[in-house]
Amino acid sequence: MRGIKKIIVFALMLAFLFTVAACGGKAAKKENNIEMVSLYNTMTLERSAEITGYPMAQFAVEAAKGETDGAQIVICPEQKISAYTATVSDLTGPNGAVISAKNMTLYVEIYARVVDGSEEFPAGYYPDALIPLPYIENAHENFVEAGNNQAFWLDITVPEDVSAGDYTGSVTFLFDGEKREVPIRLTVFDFTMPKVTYMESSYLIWRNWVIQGELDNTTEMWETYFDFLLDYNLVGYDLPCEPGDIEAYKAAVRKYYDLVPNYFIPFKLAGNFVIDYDFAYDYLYAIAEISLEDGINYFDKAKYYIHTIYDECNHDSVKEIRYPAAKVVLEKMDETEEQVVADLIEQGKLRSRDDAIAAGLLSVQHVMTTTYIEELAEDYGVDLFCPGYRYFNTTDGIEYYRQLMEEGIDIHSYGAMNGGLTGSVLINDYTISGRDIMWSKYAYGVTGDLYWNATGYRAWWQFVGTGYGLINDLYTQASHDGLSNGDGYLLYPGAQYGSEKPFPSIRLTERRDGIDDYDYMSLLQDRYDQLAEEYNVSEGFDANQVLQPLFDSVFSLGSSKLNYDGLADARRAIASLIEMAESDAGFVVNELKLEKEGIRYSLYAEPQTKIKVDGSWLSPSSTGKSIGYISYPKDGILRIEVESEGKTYKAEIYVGNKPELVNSFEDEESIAEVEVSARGSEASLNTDPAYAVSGNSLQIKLQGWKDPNGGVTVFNPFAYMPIEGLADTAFIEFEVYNPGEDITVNIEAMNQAGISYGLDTVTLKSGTWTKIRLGNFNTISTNDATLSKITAIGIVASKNLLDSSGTAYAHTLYIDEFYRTMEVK
Amino acid sequence: MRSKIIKLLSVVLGLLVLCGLAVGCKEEKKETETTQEYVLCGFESKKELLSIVYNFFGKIELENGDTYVKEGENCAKITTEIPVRESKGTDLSMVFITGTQYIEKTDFSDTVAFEVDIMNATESPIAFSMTLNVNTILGYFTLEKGENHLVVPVNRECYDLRSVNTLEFWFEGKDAEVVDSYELYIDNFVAIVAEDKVNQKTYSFAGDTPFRFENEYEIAGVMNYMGSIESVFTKPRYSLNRDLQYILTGTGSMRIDFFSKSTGGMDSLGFRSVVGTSDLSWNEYDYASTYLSFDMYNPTDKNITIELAIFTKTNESIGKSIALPANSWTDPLEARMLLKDILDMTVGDKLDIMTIVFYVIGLDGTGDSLYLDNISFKTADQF
Repeated sequence: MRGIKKIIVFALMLAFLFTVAACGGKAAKKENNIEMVSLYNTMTLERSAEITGYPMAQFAVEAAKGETDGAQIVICPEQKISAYTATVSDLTGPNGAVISAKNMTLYVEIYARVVDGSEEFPAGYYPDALIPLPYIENAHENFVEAGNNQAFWLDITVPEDVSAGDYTGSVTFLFDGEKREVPIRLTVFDFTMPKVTYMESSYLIWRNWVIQGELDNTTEMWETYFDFLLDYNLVGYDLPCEPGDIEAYKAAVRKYYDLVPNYFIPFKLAGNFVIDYDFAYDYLYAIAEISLEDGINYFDKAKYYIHTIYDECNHDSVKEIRYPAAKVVLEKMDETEEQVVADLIEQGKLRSRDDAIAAGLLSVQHVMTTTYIEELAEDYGVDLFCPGYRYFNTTDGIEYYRQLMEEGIDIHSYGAMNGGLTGSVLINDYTISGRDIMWSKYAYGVTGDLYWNATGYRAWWQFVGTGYGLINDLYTQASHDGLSNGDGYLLYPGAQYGSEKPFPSIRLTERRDGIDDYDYMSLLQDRYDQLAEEYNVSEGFDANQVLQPLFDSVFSLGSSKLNYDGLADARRAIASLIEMAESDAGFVVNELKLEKEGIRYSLYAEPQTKIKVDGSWLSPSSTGKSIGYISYPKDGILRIEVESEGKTYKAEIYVGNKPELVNSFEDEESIAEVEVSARGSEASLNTDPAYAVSGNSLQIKLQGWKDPNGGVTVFNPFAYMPIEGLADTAFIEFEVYNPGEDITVNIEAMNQAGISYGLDTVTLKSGTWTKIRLGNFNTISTNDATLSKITAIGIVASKNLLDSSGTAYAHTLYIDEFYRTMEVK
Repeated sequence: MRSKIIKLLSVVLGLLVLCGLAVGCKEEKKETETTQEYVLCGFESKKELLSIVYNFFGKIELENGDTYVKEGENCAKITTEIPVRESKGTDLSMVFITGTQYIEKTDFSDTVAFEVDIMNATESPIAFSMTLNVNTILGYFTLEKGENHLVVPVNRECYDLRSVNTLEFWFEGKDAEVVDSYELYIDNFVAIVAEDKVNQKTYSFAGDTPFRFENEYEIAGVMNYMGSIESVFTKPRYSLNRDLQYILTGTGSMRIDFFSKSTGGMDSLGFRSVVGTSDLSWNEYDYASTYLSFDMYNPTDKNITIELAIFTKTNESIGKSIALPANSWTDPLEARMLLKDILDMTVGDKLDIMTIVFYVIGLDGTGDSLYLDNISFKTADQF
């Protein structure tokens, strides 16, 4: 017993000593275990998401000269970080070249609370606002709770006058004094970004609401916002000067003309759905005046966007009032333009209507934010329509607008509340889709982007007092509209943090980078067009056809493939191709066609250029032309190397796997599992070679049906072809021949439980083979387990087959060459 | 933000009323009370400034120093831009939202007045108004050039102040050609609260003459404008009239003053009842023999027309044009509508009435007024 007492006393003494030591403050501090990883700049992670498994932390950026691009890392500390800071070093590159740290901004990502989440992006805290570190330090918000993620974003603006090549540097973080160094790796591509973006845009700066974040919505602040958006490749609507102040407007046109792809002529309402044409006259006259004074046709970038009247004016809910009002505006604006021209001629300032400035004035485009309206195009001369982007999610939609473009109609598109796989503007969503929408816009010929509001600093679902309510916290409350998490704002006000400028969001940055990608493609196209002309091969040349394999890795039918590596690889490939085209080699991929068995290509370069394709040197012709056909590379990457004037250029183009034949419908067994709708539809083997791509084909008879009792009103005859899951599938394609009248069909996937998912809508033209090509399986699910349960791909008539008298009829189609291309693992 | 600083002070309530700033409803209680200041906004921090909703183009800054600050460290400096695009009469407003961390108070039934210091550094005077919940106008004032200590009395018997969501400041908009901008310094917006709470006097809209217009609380908040208005400063205003030449029965009637909008013509189409109407005894009378009637006097030299319109809750309406000659009362045989006619013209077998509307045709606006007395249910023999 005494022994036990001694032990207790000794233990207590020890404990006391330890306590004293600890309180003395000199005890060894436990090192904070801080996990640090890299994240794609097209991805965001919820604050509590697991980050293990992502690559080691580094800021890796690839950018052209004059471009700003960014990279991000995420940290997750085991213990709370009470204070952190960071310093960014200069970057050193080829031959000792230096890019100053002044060209870099380290942002702290602010997490916004999402209350109503989705299945894939549930309620939680998602990063969006990007606030430069010094502001966060000043606000004493530079801490991270234990177990929380904290992301940091580094933007690098590459000066135009630096050498191309690889640069390195570092960001040194101090987390409660613990030093952590994160490398910066910058690759500068050997070409310069254009001063003005190829893509046109109109992003509303809702000036009335800016005051709620900035305590300032003066014209000066408006200009700050306009310039800020311009840094992000976007044009604000309107030019930042007080409406009615003509002299200020003239100055603004002169200031911004060389910086923007387009600008707008303001309008003034003179009543309900009526605009003030005297006001319009003054502006047109003013633009004409400065055009004459400066010898620049300022009209060539001018546009009208009378949004109060034009917006969705053909929509059922408003068309009775807005549509006729829109027609009046178009008519009267024409008259106003004519009047200005007549007055300028009378005053001797113009010679005739044929003068360039007169012609420019008379052809200012109206941005009609509607689907295409034939009456407005044909009778009112509207040649720029701006439908919602949802119309570019089917082959029919894409084809419809492609044909209009061929007829000379310009197409822009807008987004509002967009989410998911198509141009998301939401915070808890697939961030990448806000970027790769610019890829599909490029591919589909859409030349402009319009968004209704970048500055939704008010709670516009709440009416309080004289107007909309207040957001409790503009930085951390994701929903400003009570409906979505992020729609209506892409900027954050700077005032609260003491900044004289607003702050960007990750979503804004995605758009900036997407438009940069758009410019990459446009630059390549421009250069290729020039070279194709030089090589005398411009007839039928289509740069888009060369880019198609890259498009395939980024999107399908307007929907994101969620291919984070693929997007970066595709962008790098385009950059390489631009470098090759701009080099002494003058290298052009004239044709790059992915066929069933291999890849057909034709390449042009200056004579004496050495070209290596997939590891083999090609024999150069005297004209520098090389035509070839190679098998699909095992890793899905076509490697091209070009040597000219002692320099070597390399490009890696993702071409994917060789398509695998699923079914060529050659015998009865091959069609045995084809399922057709009841009530008369049939599937059979066709042996007539006239209706087969090769050998035999599948013949389906889609039979309409009229319920004799009049009970069933919806009946869509169908035929489903079996497939063993869609997991890891890049593309499905098959050929359909339509011997009858044009017919519109939906292409659907069906799972084991009989649930069907729409993938496409295609109009099969009479007497032609149509290739159906599908890769948008993310629209079914992003989960391979779900996709593996898909058992069939179907052709479904878009409506019941009943003639004008209500009698059911049948429509026969032939299907052949059913292929699947698997993703490269 | 400056926390709620409660300072004890005594005021003579009667003086507030006598100061002449209040327009319309005036509290009749005049004895001395002990009151306190409840700070609504001290304009002390950017966050506090950001808690106010601003409806104008301009800039709000914190201003310190003795020149403009009346209380605490800072005040708000407001510089507005007068937008050309907006119509000339557009009001500029600031909305203080209650029930927030900045203004926790929502029950203002203890409030006898509001006070605020506004320094008008603009060259010209500016019309100013303060409202509660947007539509309850507490008064119209003029911000003279220089310092203005505004005392805005509240007659608690006239309004239900137990649930106030917003407090608004209104500044008149002016043509840009008249003034480029306003420069204002605002500080120390407080509520003067009494120890007791006073609830709105309950006015019963029962009986054969539910609208009598005999005292302040039978007028306050009973009517509002019809259609749309351009400005708080030019919408119709309602006040108690005691001038017997404009009273048909009893000792009071409602005076309605009209104003012109900036582009000319009367601002608003007329006025309409906004309280009590649904609860009237519409269905307790014999439809076939009972009329809804009203008495209105036109003191102007213009022969005008009153378009009486009864709106149901399903937005059906039945109307009647009534001539109202210059300097005359309405003809009682004209200014009436048989309940059966209303019933026949609307859906349903009962009257479910939302509002009684008086469209005014023929007045110009500023300087014109009308007097309304007695909206009644009468049988034919009572005319």
